[in-house]
Amino acid sequence: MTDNLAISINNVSVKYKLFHERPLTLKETAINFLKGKRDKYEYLWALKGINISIKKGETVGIIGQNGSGKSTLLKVIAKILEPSEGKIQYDGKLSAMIELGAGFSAELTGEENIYLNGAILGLSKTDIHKKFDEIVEFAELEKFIDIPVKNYSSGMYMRLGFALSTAVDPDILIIDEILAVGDESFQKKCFKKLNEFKQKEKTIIIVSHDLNSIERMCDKAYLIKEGKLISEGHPKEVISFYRNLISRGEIEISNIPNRLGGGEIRIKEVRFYNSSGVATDYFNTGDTLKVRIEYHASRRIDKPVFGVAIYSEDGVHINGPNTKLSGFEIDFIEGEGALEYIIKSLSLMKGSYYFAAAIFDYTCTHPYDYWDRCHHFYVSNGSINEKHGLLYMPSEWRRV
Amino acid sequence: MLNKIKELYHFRELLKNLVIKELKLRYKRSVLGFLWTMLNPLMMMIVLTIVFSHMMRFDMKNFAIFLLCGLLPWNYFSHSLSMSTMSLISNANLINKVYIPKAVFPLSIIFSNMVNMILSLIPLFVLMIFMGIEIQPSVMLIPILLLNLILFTAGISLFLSCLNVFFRDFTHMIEIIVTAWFYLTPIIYPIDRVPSKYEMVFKLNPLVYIIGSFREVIFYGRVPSFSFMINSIVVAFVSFFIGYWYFYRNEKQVIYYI
Repeated sequence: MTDNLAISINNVSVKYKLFHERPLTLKETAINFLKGKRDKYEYLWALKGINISIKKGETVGIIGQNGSGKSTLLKVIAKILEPSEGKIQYDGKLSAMIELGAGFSAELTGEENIYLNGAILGLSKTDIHKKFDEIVEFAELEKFIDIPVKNYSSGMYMRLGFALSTAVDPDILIIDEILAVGDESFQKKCFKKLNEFKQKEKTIIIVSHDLNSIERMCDKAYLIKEGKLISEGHPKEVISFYRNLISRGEIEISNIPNRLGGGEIRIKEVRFYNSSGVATDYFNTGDTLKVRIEYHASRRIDKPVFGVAIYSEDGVHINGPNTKLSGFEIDFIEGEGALEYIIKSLSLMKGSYYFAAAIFDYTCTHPYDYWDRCHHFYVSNGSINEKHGLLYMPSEWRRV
Repeated sequence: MLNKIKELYHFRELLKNLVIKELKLRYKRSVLGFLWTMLNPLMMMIVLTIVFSHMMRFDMKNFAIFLLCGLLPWNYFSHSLSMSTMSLISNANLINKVYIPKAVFPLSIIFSNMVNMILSLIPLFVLMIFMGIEIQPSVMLIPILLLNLILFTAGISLFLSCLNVFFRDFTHMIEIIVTAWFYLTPIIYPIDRVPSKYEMVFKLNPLVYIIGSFREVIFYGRVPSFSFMINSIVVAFVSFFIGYWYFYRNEKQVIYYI
């Protein structure tokens, strides 16, 4: 391994035994044996021939659809799984955040858990002792450190988990999808901490669905499809390659609950932007939200109707405008293009929301492409003090 | 294998913390706390003493102490076995999320139970003084006997914790085996009551040496014969190495089944 590499992954493959009838008990195994029945299984290659070299100080992102093998790859890098073939070499101390607070014991207090989990992450008692105050401060748990963690809110739990994982002061940090949790201020803190890591020339490996943050944070990205590495390079290029595959339908995003339509027009991408034009999924009540819908029409389509809808997390249909109802008539579209839907001031209260986007024919009966609740965005309170309900309506009180 | 032991040594802090966790969780919400550890075998001793020396007319001097000397190491052995059998499965979440040498889970049980075992020796000695039984210098051998007990139990526990991941019904089988083993080991009866035609069976039972030596040293106050001691040491090491070997051969497969 050359000097400036933090991790070198050489021809790594992982295969799972996929049991069709898997004997889980000794009794079944014995009966099967007596009946002369063999275990029915086949091998499933979760990863095949992966070669990746990660330089010291690099931040890399691994992307891919659900079930592509990216989490398996992360587990292999984190030493949780042993590769069936190939080898991984490391230079430096490793810390993995596959799930925040995975080792917490509910009955123990925050303090006791810091010591226990510190040890799980490989810290000695003196290390933890030295970093104890720092951890508590970062997690903002000064007042709660001596109560059992089962009484913690999920936010407190996450904060403590994150604080612990970064306290290890690893040379290589592995992060799985965990930055999508927690409130906005916590997220900011996490990103700040990660930037500190970057500045200290530490190596960071991120797996995420959030392409925007991969693009923002990473120096390099890897795209995994069906267990194989199919693209690597600058995050922008890899992500646009990925988006292309999705729009051409070569990768069906399996977390799409509902996508239907004739396919004459395909929605390539739905992205949310804030008022300063930065792509993000996080907004405050009162912010400007701009949605950009990119499409590709395989032939000339006359009078298409673009429609969007917002749903609350529990499925309440909040709005559903379309270009026809708004009197925004489109004569025809052909080839590539994009349309923007702008909400000047977002009235939604804190929460996570689903977004649906669709292109219909003029009668609004035939969908060309309809992505039903395939995207979401998150709203935080911002400067609004109201707490209840779904909507914030600017208003005033008067005594008469 | 040597690397694995080195790695385990590296994670000794974790092992220590897990042992503390086990102990804390056990005593956290009970009013009597550590007293339970001492009360539990005492209760069992009282019940068994009443049954055997008063109802079944098992005539023996200081039967209570005799019983306790066998019961304490037995309890250690059987509790450790049933707890560690489940140890990998109940920590599945952690095993899937963080890299830890998996042996720490059964081993933490072995060690936390050992703390209990040592604590429960206290009431035994108090009881002996109370009943006017002289404590002989042979008790100096107890640390060696405890070490044998730990090694023997650890070997079987490592083996079972791993096996139970592959065959989930093993837990039920353990209960049956442990119950049978209890009656086949001279715990509630002295070994000299065993008819000579069964002697061979008892000679093959490793617990006869592991547990029997405690009784020799504490109750009879004599140093066990050389061959008896050697047997118990050999049995302990063999058990440990077989369990350890099996565990490390199959450890990597655990993640796929858990």
